[in-house]
Amino acid sequence: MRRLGAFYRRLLGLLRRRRLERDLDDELAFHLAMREADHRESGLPPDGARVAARRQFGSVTLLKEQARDTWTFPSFESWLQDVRFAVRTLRRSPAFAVAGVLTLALGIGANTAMFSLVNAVLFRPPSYPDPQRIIVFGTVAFSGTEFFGGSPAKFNVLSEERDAWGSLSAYRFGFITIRGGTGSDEIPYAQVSAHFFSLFGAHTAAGRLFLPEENRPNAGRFAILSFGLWQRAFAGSDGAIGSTLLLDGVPHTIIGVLENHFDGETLAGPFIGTPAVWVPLQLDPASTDQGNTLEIAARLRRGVTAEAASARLRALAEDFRLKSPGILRPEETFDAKLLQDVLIGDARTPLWLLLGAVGFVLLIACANVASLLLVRGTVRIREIAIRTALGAGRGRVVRQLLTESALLSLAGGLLGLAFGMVAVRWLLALNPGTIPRIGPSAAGVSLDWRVLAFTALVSLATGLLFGSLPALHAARARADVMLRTSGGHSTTKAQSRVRGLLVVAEITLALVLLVGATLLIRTFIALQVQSPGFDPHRVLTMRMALRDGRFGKTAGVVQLVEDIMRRVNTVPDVVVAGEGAWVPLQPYLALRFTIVGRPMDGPYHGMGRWNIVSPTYFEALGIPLRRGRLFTDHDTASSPPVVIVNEAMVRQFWPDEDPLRHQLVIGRDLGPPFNVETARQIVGVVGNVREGVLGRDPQPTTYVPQAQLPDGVTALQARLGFMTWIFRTRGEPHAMSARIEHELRLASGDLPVAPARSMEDILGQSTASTKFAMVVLSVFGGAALLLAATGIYGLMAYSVQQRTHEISIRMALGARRSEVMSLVLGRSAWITSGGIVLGVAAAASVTRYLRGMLFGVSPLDPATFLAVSLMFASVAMVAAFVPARRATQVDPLVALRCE
Amino acid sequence: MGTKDASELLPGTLDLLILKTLVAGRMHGYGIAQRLKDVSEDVLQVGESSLYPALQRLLLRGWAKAEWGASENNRRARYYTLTAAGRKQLAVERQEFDRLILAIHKVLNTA
Repeated sequence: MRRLGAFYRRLLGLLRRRRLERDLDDELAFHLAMREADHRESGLPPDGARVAARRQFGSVTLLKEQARDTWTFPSFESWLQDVRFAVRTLRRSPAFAVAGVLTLALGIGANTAMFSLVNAVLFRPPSYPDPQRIIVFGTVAFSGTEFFGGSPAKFNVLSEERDAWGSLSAYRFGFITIRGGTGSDEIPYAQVSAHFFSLFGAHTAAGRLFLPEENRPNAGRFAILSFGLWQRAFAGSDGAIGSTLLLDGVPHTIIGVLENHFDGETLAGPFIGTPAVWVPLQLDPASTDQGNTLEIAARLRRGVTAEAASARLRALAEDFRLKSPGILRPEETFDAKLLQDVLIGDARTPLWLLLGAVGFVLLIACANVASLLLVRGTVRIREIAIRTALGAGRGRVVRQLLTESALLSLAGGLLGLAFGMVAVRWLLALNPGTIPRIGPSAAGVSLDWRVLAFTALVSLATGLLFGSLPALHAARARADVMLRTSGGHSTTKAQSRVRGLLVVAEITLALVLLVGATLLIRTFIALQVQSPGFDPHRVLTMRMALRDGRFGKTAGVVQLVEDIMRRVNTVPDVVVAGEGAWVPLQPYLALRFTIVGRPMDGPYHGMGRWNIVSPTYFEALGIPLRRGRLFTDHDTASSPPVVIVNEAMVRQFWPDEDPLRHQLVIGRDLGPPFNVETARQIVGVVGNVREGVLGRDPQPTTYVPQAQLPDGVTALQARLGFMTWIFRTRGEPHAMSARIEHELRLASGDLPVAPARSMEDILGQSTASTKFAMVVLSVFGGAALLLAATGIYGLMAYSVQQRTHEISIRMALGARRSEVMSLVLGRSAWITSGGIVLGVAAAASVTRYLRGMLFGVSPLDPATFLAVSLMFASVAMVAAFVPARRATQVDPLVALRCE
Repeated sequence: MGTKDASELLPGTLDLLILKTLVAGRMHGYGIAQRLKDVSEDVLQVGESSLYPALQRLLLRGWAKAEWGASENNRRARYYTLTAAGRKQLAVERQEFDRLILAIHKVLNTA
């Protein structure tokens, strides 16, 4: 209590300082007067009495300072003094202050922007209850590189477990068409099993969630709307509940609306977006469906660790192996990952790389500011010497200089925060649409406490980083030496060496960034130049869903394809039309196959993409035939079953054989409806098409004719899959989309069609994330190059200025201009080559982290390293050339006379 | 032995002496110094550099309070008065001091 009183009075003292000082002054004056009077009384003359009184008194200033220290917070006071002094000093050299603050603001701002994004994706916990206990199941190979979802059969095995986890839930996201006023529209939707909403903590804004009996097979069609769709389509009216919604042409009864803030987008991922409609998955508890089309998640029970859950899963995998033999390969098992890790997925490495890159930019900015401070240190050497001579301790001098740095960096930090808030919008404008977790229109990227703490910490660390070196340097200098010598030449030399090293470091860091940026640029160019395996020009695609129950048989679908072909081929400017389940670069289904007559070494021989196509699919996309033949209209349900494979499949399975002599059995292990698949003769080999995942080699792919699909598979495809129409056109493809869509509707009996996309759109989307990384890294690399060039220029200009005297003597003694020039350029060349050597070494050791983002170029591509090094050498030469020329223009007479 | 500057006293002793002096009634800084000198028969000379920081300390801790008033020769002077807390503190410090002196005596008288 008493301590508190004293603290309070101290605080009061701080506020009433002026009065306190006046009181003390008055009191001391009174004291002096009384003493003087005493002296006078004891017989001294008036003058003598005053002098004696004063002498006895000693230093009034010191006394006052002591008395004042009693009252206030001495450390705080002297710190405040430091700050005031620092502000004064900085104000006296505004050019330096502005240059320093701006450099730092750019560096810190860029870091704030990048961190805001990284924070939203990597650090911000998902907005579901207790997200650390939500795990996602997957099938993994023991190598752990592949992690994919589960099948209904696996879900049923997992749901037998009661102790390790609860709220087991399966779900799947996709697109569905909805009938609106102006035609149909494609919207993201989700199919969810019971427990999904309780697992992820979703509540309704209106109506109710699914009842358990509504999630059983054939329980009817129900839908829950997202808040957004409710507002858009029903203006938020309660009348929506109980009304009917046509989804893929099938009527669904709306039973509820989800809360506005429920985050479905995070689960569905950036490709799908916020699900607008939720429907029950209606899984059959006796299902033997082996298609891995589900995502499965659950909540760990309290006290169950992730490791314990993994062990339990491995045991369940063995149960599953017994129950459904031939599904899991020997090296495959079940495992789980934390939800957050699954959500982040592949985005982790690129984001860390970009954050590291922007960190480099800040380091370079720091080096530049440190260099500026060192120069200032030289200029202020006399000031510091005088202060040291007057009794300022070394610590005090360092503190003073560090306060200045801290002030600079805090100003830079504040400005940087403002700049960062703008810059993050630029960053998101480049958003390739592949960054997970940032939410619709990037609402997830916000200025939360983590971003603020990061910026504050970075600012402080920055201040210490660039401030401590010059401060220690200045404090180490000896006062007497500095006062005696006029310019302090010895210290200048030492400082010049330190600055040289700083520039070397700058070049090193900048070179690493530019090498990375150049590798990505080359990747992007390679992606543009290299053929994707199909001809993307003037090709329009439209996706159609066949959900309305008319297409349970293959014959019906074949008839539909024929009808549509006939109509569309009458449209002028349609060169050729084709149809397939998938087009290149889009998500696909992979099925296991066995090669007839080959000895078995496992449950199956291989796994390949599987596509259902019409005879003109390859022609419409421009995929070249390499051997054999394409499908024709004669490949029908009654003709011998056939299949076409791609070159990657041939290279992997028949490197030295004729693939056309072999037969495949595809997907039979999946159980019904695939169990009626028979051996298919390979009749053709087509070219590879590029994978959607960068850098992945083309995967084995099988194409089967639409007409030879088992009825059950056609029905499954009609229920879950899509039919994608492909039109090669004569003119701009999008210009014809309305006309073509009209024909599709007429021919199909008004089946819903998703908005048209050209193959160029799809190709562009597939390289968007490369483009994002390339643009961002190039901007950082360019900024780094510019900063490093400024560093070289500053160093050289300053050293020329310092050596004016020496240079003029040399010139007076007959040195030629070219010699003077090479004097300056030589030093710059030394520094630059040091930086380049270190930079090349550093880059060579870090570019391997880029591997997953590269295509058509090796992480150690010699041409890239050479080109970037040459670029640095030339930029450095240019930056040093201006000061070097100035050196040759020194007039010896003028310079010497000035001294 | 001559005179002693207050700064050479045992730590805390000056505060104790000032508190004790203020028991007699309100007094200004110069008066306190004079009184200490007189009472100690010129042995204790309290310099301004010790006295005023000590007085500030007493104010800060709430053991004394200060107010401006007219001095004996009609000048404006700052008078210090003992507070209740100060009186309590005096008793505490006095006891502490006695204990300390006793201890010192014991040490000195041990052969």
